[in-house]
Amino acid sequence: MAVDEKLFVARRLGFGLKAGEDLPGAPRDWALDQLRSVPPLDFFGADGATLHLPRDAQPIDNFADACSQWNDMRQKDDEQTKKFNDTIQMVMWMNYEALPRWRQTLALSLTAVNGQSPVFERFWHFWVNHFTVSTAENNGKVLQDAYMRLIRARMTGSFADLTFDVITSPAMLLYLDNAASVGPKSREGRNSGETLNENLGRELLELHTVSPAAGYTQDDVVQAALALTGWSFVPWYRDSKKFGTIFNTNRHEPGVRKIMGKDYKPKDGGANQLRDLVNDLAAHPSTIAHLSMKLAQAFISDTPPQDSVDRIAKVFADSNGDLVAIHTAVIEEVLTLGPSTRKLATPMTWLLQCYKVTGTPIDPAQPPGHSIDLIMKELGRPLDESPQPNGWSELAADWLSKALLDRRVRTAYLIGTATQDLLPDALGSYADRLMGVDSAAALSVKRAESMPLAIATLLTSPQFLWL
Amino acid sequence: MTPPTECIEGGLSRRSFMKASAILTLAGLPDLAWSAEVNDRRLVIVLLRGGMDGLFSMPPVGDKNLNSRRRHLVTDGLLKLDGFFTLHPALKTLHQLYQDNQALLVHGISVPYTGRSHFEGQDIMQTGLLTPYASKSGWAGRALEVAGYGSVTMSLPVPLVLRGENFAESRYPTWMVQPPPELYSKLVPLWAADDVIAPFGDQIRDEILHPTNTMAITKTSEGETALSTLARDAASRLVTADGPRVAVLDYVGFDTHSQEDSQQASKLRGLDTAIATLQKGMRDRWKDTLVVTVTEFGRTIAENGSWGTDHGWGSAIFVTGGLLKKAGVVADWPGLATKNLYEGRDLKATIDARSLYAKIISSVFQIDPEMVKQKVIDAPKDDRFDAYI
Repeated sequence: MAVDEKLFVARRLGFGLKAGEDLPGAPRDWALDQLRSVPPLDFFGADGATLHLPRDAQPIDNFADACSQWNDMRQKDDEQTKKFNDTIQMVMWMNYEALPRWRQTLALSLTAVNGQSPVFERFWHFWVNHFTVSTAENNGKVLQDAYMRLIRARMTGSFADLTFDVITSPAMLLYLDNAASVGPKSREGRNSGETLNENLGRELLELHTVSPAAGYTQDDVVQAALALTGWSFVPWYRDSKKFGTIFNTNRHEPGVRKIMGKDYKPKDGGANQLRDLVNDLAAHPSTIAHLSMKLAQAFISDTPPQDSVDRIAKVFADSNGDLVAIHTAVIEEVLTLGPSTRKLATPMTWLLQCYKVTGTPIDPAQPPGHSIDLIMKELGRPLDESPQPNGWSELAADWLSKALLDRRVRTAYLIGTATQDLLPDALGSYADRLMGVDSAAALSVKRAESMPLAIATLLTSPQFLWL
Repeated sequence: MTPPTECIEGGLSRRSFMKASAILTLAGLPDLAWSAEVNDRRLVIVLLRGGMDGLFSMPPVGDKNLNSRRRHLVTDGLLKLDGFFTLHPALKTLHQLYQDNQALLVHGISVPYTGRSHFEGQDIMQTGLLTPYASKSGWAGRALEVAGYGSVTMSLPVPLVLRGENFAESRYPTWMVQPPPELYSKLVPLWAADDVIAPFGDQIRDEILHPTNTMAITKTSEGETALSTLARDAASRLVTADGPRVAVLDYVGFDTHSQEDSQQASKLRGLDTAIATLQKGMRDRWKDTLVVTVTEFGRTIAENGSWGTDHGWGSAIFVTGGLLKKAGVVADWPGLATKNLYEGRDLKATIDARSLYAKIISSVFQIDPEMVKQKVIDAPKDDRFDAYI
């Protein structure tokens, strides 16, 4: 390719390059090497060293602890209804809203910009969004550290394992109401009259796996929801001291489930039915087509060549959903197509690339507010507060408007004024590299009256907005 | 600090901290050059996202099956309408408007979509088409274009219902300072060289480098009381003579899979307060105003396991405003007996919501019904609305 391949690959697949720096090796090896193992999710400083943060910043990185915290919150909430005062509310808000939000912002940004595996981080962001757990309308923010790490830990395994662990995680069981769903003919359903909640069953089919293209029916949704009954978590469902996901046979609908033409027979109380179902859904041709298209749209183009989608799908099928193989296939397509396709950087990717190229430090030690969190709201994409379970769009049409473009200009100027250690020569060389030596665009950057103007011009130029 | 705003009883969401739950978008600024010719009517669209349960909001107490199917979801203190239908007590302003001949309440109505997916349903409720994702424009956006309100609308992603075939945008508030004009002067030529970004760059240039008095906003707000804050903003803009013609209030939270009794009552209180705020804020222009609710589907007749309901089909639509000729209830009641339900579980929609929207567009924008059918919504004509709108 005529353009700078290292810069192209770093931007399309990662978070770009710092002005004046380059990839350590050949672009293909650099990208593929990141996929094979799960990199540590530490809070890295700009020098790549792990930051030592206050105790409040320590993530609650497993569901046993996270569910325990969630339980504490609920109990305090009960107490608070008796004794209501501002101090208690402030503590509640800090511990269960502000600090989790701050930790999430750091996890998504510091490792991406300062860590060694930006390509892995991009795929991680993709899967966190695919399996959206929004806390816009619930009290689950304290579960997000563990939820995001669960997804991350499964990214070198199979899509089936990822899907199963995600939908049986406390965060998802809370978000899509399955914690409360009871089989109407289960022991508990018959005693209490409690019954089914279809929410997770429907989204498992529609959003997470096969999509409506599979042509499933309402009865399939109900049957999937019945297969999901019994999956809940402690302490939402109090019958154990051990916090985390549980399968409760007493709440599970007995009998055979028939879903999309196949029978799922219960063994040992029925926990196998969901696992068997997820295995089949994960391997379903409609799932493979759906996920291959979504990945291609995230990394290649809003309208990717069908050949590319088909090749990703073939790898998906042949590897039995091996995520390393699938991610590799996506990267191979990007490398083959090169800049013949282009992707508009979605708000998070764009913002982090702005920090990366300018070397503007992401300040970690400012709880509870965080500039990235605040800016993401202005860019129309508050981090884990997607209004609906389909998550955030990967498509340019949803991120281009007069208002959103102007907010990127304002953000770029804000970053431009906050940048301190970037030398004009480094910026100029980067502009030449990205836009063509002494092209009109590069000259526009280099001839700007001030560094903030030069930086903001670069960051909101079409060459930088498109990956 | 952000205090908690609501407590939902029961296991699932005891507390939800204040969250953005409502968005306002205004559109339809008249071209000032010929503003003398444009009409004075105003439309407020309230998107009730998540699938609003019409049986909870407007319970048909005359149907003997209601109580037996919904043990926890028929509230006390229902407000009487015509003997068969009632309104939830949270909707007291709407009920007063009904008594004042200013509310049309339609039940057993929906867009003709039975797939029960939020995302397909919300697409269809806004495009007015029969299949999802078939258009990039919405029925209010197309109506604005046909009515001659050209370069209007604004905001963070414009709600689909307001998008026209060629929509443009304008300004909105943000805490981020506006950079100096030199920056925009440098960027506009760079953007102009990019076919996708150029149109948005041109709009920014027109606004910032060649400012005019066009005005349009989008705001987000938080919590239930916030909807009425946005309604007050909307009214203050709509009420001015050269103000926008359409406001869209985007109100999420009707996906009541659990604890519906408290959750939806709270949402309905928010809606009712917003209606009261609009009526007050529109002052003498209320007589030229219609407010209409839009939702993607209704919910199951039966309760689910968490005192909520799952996705269904038929719902209710509320129309209010001084532009109504008289008050009334319109329904072709399909019944709640199992044999009368859609697929044995959902209230049937016996009235096509698109016919109601087409009638409203024809009235507010004074567009010939045949033109509405050709250019805006191709819906069957429904004579039942003629007496009211």
